[in-house]
Amino acid sequence: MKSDFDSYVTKYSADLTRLCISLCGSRDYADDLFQETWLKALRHYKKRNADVPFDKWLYSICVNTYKNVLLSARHRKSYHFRTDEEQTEFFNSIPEVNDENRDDYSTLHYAISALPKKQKIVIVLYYFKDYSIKDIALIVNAPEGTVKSRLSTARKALERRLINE
Amino acid sequence: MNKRNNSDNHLDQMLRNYCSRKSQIALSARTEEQKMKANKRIFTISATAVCMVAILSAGIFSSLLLGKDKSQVVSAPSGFSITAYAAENEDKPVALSNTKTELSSEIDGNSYPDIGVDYNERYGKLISVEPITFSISGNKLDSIDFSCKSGNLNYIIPELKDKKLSEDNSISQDDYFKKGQKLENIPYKSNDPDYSFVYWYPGDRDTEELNEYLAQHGYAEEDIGKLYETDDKLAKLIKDFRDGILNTSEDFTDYYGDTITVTAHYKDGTTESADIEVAVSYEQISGTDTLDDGTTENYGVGKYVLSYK
Repeated sequence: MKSDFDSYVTKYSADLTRLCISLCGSRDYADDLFQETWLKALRHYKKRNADVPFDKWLYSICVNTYKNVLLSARHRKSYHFRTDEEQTEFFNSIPEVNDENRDDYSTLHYAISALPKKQKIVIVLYYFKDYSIKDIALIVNAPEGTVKSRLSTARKALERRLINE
Repeated sequence: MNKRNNSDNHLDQMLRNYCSRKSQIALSARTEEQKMKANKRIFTISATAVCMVAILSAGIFSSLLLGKDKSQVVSAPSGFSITAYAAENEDKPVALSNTKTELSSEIDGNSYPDIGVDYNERYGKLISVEPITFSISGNKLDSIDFSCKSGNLNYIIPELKDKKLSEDNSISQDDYFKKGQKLENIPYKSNDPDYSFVYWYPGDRDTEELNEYLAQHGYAEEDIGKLYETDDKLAKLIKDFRDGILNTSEDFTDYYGDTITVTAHYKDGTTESADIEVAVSYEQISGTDTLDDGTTENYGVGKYVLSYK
């Protein structure tokens, strides 16, 4: 079992990293979420429903962990960077970012930070791996209509905040 | 990976890039000490955000008939019932009544405010709002109208829903929902609850007024986005504006409240209408952090309060 699990860690850590960072908005809190997700996955690995693909099961753990942590004052500032270097590293990790569009991505970053958690989760899942509504509904354990509603509301909120769009 | 055929606009592409970042930031294993330190988080206690919508029992007073030409607004409908929940709480819908009640947003012991107010040192209040999902039911319903005054409504277009859009991403989000402040002839199917869902979310008055305020100080709306992070004068204006508004329940009700009119069209041609009042109960919570300027961070929790008028 452990070797199977280890292979999953190897295979999915990169994607889980991206998910955690996109949800948390900073490396520091993404670290916490990343660790807790794998710990919970390991604890519940034997009991998981084998009919659910591992990645969706893993990301379900991740979003539930993210969703259920009450935010401390520190966490509420998680989308704000402590140093210029941290900010540079964060935005340099985004594909196609350059000097001309960096400000746009900074605006997007803070716009995402202002979304309610449940909207943030569906937005990130929708764009991070092009998951279908059906897949997202499975991951977040919500009706497909609810997922669509949250997506629509979240995109509207982002469009409003991205005044230049 | 599912292929997505919808035409990507600029926002779509930016979001895809933002969420598909290169793994240059590697999340590393931490020592036990670091894990223990991380686990000693200070959990804030959020006031519960509860707006409860009472269901009117359908069918008990089904003999009440209204004139065919005019739908009279009643204080408590008899031929249909409405439940509502904040988006997070699908398992706990509550019913509308004449009594002002709050929606429950508590999941597994954790509270998710319907309207959350976080505080940002630079920009002041950061406000997030949740939609309300309304579900209507009634034995003799044929169709439903929803209208609101200041918020926004949408529902899933049944014809598209029947095509099982979850497996077909060629239709964009904008096409999937019918939106507006007045939605008429929403079809009703008693054996398909999804046909009865209508989503409401508050208007954006605070953003509109902020833009007007900033325009008075020389900032064009199209420039605000790119100056947002770097212009200290702009940041101060935004903070002063937001600190000055939305401090009480009355403020939040004024900005985010609404009156929603629901009209039921029955199979026998009669109609019945009811007005739903959406208010907000807001509680400011003192934070635990002292900001660099010596002030104390404050945030708050808002709850939707619903009742028939």
